[in-house]
Amino acid sequence: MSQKSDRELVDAARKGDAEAFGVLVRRHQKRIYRLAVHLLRDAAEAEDVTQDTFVRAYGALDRFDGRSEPFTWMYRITVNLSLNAIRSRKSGRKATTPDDPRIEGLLADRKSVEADPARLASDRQAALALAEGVDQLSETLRTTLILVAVDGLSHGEAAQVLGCPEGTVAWRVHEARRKLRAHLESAGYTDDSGKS
Amino acid sequence: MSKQNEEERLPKPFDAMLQGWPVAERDEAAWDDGAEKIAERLATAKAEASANLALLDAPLPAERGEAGFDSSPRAAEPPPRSLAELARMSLATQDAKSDAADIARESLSVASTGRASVPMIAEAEAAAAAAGQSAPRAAPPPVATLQPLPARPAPRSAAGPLAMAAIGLVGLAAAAVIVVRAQRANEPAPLAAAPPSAAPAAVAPKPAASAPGQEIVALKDLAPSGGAAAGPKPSGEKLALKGAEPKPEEPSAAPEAKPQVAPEAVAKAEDKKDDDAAKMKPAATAGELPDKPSTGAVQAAIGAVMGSARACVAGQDEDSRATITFGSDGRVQSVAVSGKAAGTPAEACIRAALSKARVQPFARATFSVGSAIRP
Repeated sequence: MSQKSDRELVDAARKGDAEAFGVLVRRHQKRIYRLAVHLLRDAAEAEDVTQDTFVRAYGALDRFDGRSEPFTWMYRITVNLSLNAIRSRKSGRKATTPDDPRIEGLLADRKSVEADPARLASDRQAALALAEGVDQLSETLRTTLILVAVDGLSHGEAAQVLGCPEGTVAWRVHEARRKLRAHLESAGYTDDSGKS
Repeated sequence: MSKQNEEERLPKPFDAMLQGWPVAERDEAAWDDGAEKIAERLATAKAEASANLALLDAPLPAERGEAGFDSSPRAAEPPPRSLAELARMSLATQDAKSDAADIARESLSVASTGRASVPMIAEAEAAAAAAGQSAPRAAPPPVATLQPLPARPAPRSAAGPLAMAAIGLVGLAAAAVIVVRAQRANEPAPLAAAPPSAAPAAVAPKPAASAPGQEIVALKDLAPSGGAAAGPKPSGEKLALKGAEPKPEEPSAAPEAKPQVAPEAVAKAEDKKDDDAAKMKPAATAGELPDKPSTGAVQAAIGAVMGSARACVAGQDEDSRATITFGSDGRVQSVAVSGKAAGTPAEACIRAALSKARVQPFARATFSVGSAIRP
């Protein structure tokens, strides 16, 4: 079962094979959770959205037309659920907080290779600056950048998720990176030299 | 990503951080737990229907600057539209026979008439037309669409009929008061002494609750009750006289600007006031006459003619004083003037003015009251 492709699993799930869909869940829940964390900046909300994504996808299996990969189809549901969650928040969360799960993720990755506390503090500052730069982007640019630059989707896959042409994805990524660079430069980070 | 140009290239560490940006790790048990929760929910997923089809739609709007996005400021936000433009849009989208289309046509007609009536706008539009320029706003629709509309039935709403009914009742009450006053003016005997059938038909209906207080009181007082002579109701009297109460005398309001008024002219001018004041007073029968006129009634009566009396002493620098004696019929029997005006032509003027005061009949033979007449 675990060797089947996503499409085969979807077909099986459509025919009532719950186990097949369970395989899909286990195969993609980490990616979807990570995407939700980056979109929501909140681990608990991300977990809820991850669960909701699979539940909604399972309920809408009949509407999967097969023109895209199942995971990009589920990504679209994740993006929509995350945007809904962001818009339904009572207070707009603009500021990037130190306990942001994305920051912890970056630092945990660095801690494994860096033991110098001063360097770790510097890394934390850099991670905060990067997160702030991403958060200052518009929803459209931020989501596209996360899908392509962070999650590693191709422009074609991101275009399927976002329902736009590949050229549009490319433009958005370019624009997002340009703005991100400008933000980092304003924060004192220039070119290859790191913090100036 | 390999073709990124200099403009979008991030400082070195950030490119590495961005690619594959991890999130806080969760252990496998947490993932298993999450998968089980999902499996539990899947059991009812069909029931949940997940029928929010919007979740399957493209999630994000176009970004400013990307292909297909009009980045002009006017496109970024809805352009301001005039009412005329909205009306034209409505005409374009509505059924031509619908009420909305009628309203749109009517609005356009009004707008067209209004624009034509303002010379500045009309000239500007004429100049623009002569120069072959497009008008700043969309061209008006063909004249045929601006034809005056046939009368449309008033929109049916709950508030309209109620408001009309209230206005009608108020009007009815006012008409009744006018009729009754006219009858009283022609009928010196107290109305209460008349048989009930003599009351005007318009008075018979109960007055509207929302009618002005004075009119309501007048109707109540004038309406016969049970055929017996209806005496004046204290509250009715108070309210009836309320409208005639004089303002406090204001020394600074001396009518310097007023010309000296001849007594005859003053008398003529006050005739109507006196008649009105007399009509306002409630009827009283001989058996229920008050011992003396009430203070309020006296003040009202004198206040009604004090303006004329003060005009008689305009220009003088001292106050004069008048003692007014009312007879039991309510009319002024005599006026004694003292002070600066005494012995001058102003004395006769003051007498003539104050003699027009009227109070309701009272039991005593006479009742006197003094009053200062300030220039």
